[in-house]
Amino acid sequence: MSKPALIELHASLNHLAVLRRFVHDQALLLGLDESEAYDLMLAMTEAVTNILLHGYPNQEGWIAIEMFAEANGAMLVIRDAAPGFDPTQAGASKLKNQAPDRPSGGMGIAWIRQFTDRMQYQPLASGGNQLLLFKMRKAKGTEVSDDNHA
Amino acid sequence: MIITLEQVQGSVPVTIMGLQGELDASNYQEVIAAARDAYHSGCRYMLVDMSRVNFMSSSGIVALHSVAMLMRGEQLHDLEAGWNVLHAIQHDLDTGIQQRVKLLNPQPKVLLTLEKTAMDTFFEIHMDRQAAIQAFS
Repeated sequence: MSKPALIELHASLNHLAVLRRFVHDQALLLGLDESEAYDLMLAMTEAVTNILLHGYPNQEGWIAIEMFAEANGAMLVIRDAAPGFDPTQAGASKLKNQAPDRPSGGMGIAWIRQFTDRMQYQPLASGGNQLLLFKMRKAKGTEVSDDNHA
Repeated sequence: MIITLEQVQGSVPVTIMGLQGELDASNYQEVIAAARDAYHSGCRYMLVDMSRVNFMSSSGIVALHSVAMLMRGEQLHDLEAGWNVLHAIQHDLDTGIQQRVKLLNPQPKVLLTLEKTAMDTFFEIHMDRQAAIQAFS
């Protein structure tokens, strides 16, 4: 099994494109197709945007993304040192024609749910947050349900 | 994000806003600012050429919705107040397609995003430039 790939950057909206390139390239290396890689880029962009805008609104910070293979797909882990926030407990709304239920970042959280197959949160022991996003690699001729979130 | 503006004449004067690049939280306010400038210059109908947008996050949805609000002469919500912005989008989705802003030729993945977020019920999406221009009245 290949080693996890890691990127760590200063927390800045200007780094979103760099992070997307990393996620795209790693997703393809881990066997996802272009469509699945795009979904993972979308989910990562929404998660990191929420961290940057709401976790680090007036402070310096860092974002780390790690990717590795997991059974039938790819795992993307986002770590930050912002105040604790569990997105799995917020924004349970579906995308289409339903209002988000969180004051800020609601649309982004709905998108993370929509474009990944599993979302899991763990606080870091050192303070900060760890969000795990799993994207399943579809077998040929099969479809993945939108409703199979953790 | 590269933004271009072009004036054309259909049944009504139409401004074509061309976007090129990846549309996300780092640059969506540039799109809104360009639309605001166009509105202050007299633009009331806008065709947003999405053909060279190869990525769009939810910030792009906020930008497109804001452009529609501007063209209708409405005051924009505070973009930092996520709740108000999202409710405004939801309200407009419930009212159906608006006529001031249309989208031109989004790339397949961006189109899929527009469909999944139901924004295709708020914006007419055209694949042909001339047909899109003539669709304004």
